[in-house]
Amino acid sequence: MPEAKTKKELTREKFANFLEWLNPDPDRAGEEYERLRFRLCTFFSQRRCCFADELADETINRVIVKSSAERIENKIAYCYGVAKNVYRESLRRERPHLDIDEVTIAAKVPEEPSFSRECLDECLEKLSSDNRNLLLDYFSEAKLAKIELHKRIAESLKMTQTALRMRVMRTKLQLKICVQECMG
Amino acid sequence: MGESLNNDRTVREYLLGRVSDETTLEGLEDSLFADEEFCSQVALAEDSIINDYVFGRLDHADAESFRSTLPVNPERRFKLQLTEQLRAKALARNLKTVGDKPSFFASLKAFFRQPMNAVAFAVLLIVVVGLTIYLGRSGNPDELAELRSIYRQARPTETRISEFGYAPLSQLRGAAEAADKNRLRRIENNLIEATEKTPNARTRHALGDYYLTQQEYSKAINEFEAALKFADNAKIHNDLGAAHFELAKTRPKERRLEDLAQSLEEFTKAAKLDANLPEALFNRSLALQELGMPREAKESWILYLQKDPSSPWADEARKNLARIENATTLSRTDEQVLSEFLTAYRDHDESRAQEIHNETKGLLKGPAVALQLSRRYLIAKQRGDEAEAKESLGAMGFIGNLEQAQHSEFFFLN
Repeated sequence: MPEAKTKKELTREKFANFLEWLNPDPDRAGEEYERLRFRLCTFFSQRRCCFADELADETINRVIVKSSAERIENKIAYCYGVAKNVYRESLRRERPHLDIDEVTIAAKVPEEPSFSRECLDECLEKLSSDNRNLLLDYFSEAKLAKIELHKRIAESLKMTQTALRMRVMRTKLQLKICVQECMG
Repeated sequence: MGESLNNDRTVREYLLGRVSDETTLEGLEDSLFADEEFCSQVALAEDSIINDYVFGRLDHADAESFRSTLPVNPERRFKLQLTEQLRAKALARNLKTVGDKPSFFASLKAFFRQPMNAVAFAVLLIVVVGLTIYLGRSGNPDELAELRSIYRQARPTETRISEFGYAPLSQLRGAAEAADKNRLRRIENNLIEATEKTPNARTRHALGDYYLTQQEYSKAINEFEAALKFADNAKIHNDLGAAHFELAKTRPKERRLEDLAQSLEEFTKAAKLDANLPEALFNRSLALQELGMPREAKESWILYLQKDPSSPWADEARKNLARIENATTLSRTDEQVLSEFLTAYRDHDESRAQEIHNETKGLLKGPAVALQLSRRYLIAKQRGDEAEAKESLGAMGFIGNLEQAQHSEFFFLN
């Protein structure tokens, strides 16, 4: 399916329907969406695709269009199938990039927006004080003392170290989404 | 999926981009999409790799592999930036705690109120005096004094090296006079000899200081780390932080933050061990400033100036403080800068308009008002908005006249 057509067919309503399709509970739908995006970005980047995030978005766009038109049973497996197609198409598209003449006239890749510390401050404030302190404590110690510190935090919260790592990861994910939204 | 693929080691190899076998790769991808638990395992493994990288816990090969995955993985780059900034924030929070501690003299008074402590201190004092005399004989005070004297006129590093007096920062880095070169060679030989004969905190620290002044930062770091194995000393931590700070300046952008965070960590430790060590307080303010944390840097400079209000170092601290305050303009978006300028221009508030122009004109990019105005003029012309084009032209004329009147500068009139 041509990329331009996919984008044209996308609407805010279809995206909302897609989230509902992922999970009827809006909170869970957000989580599912992030999880799907993580899977896709990992898939494309570990395949060394040049624009992993764009390919992940393209996959999601195609699924959005398709899911609004027909019933799909196994959602994630379907997304995986689409991702494989997008990957194969990208291989065909990426080949001309190896031509040195193409490279010299290619437009400069736009610079990534610099990380906003103001947004980080704002989003840290939005976290619960428990989660905020947990993150700041977790990242506060010197490298040699880190293991000991993390053991202490896990003990004080009465959880295993793996559970602590999971909680830190989830809180960071929450923070990441907030910072990305804040940076626009 | 087979047990062989579903283990932490394989997942780690996959995330570090070291799985190239197609069957293994497909097996991992199938599980990533089909198995919720495996997906969580991969997410957790990626987060751990990023954390380990930021904590400096990846070995050289893993760190290299990790870095090589970044160009094709914008999501991971963002997660890395977030983690590095969190780490810097956490370290900055530690510093604040150090600053909030009771003063040294208050703590000392409380300590000596306990008779047992006073006795223990007397014993400790005797041991320390004895050790100082012993180590002094095998140490290298002469070499260090000579090294300091070479840098009396111009200091070699932006950061403060412990016990080095004030000198303005040298603009000709590494260009020592011929006579000094000979002295430096002799000092180096003596310091190396002392380190070989008597490897201890003092000799390794002194040799580290020597390498630091010669911009041999990696060697300096090795010596300071070796010195710390003998003694956990605030001055050594400070100088180790200084070496990381100076090394950061030589690094490519993506590795710079890593060294700066490390330097901040060392200054934090130094300040924890000795809350009144001026070098550590000065350097941590610099590190916070370089890390782009203006609010924390400002607080840190103010704290420094409370402890040292009158030395030449304090003058530098004040200049840095002023720089942070001026930089608030630059933290605003280009649109905000232009909008503020236009408001001042429309209100005929010439001094404010001039102030905004002066703050941005040296940049010749992004927020520079003159550039933004010319862009605004062209866009307005394209759109056929004559009023906006006329205003932009008028504002550019205002800037041109201002520059001509103040600096006989005709650049902005072109």
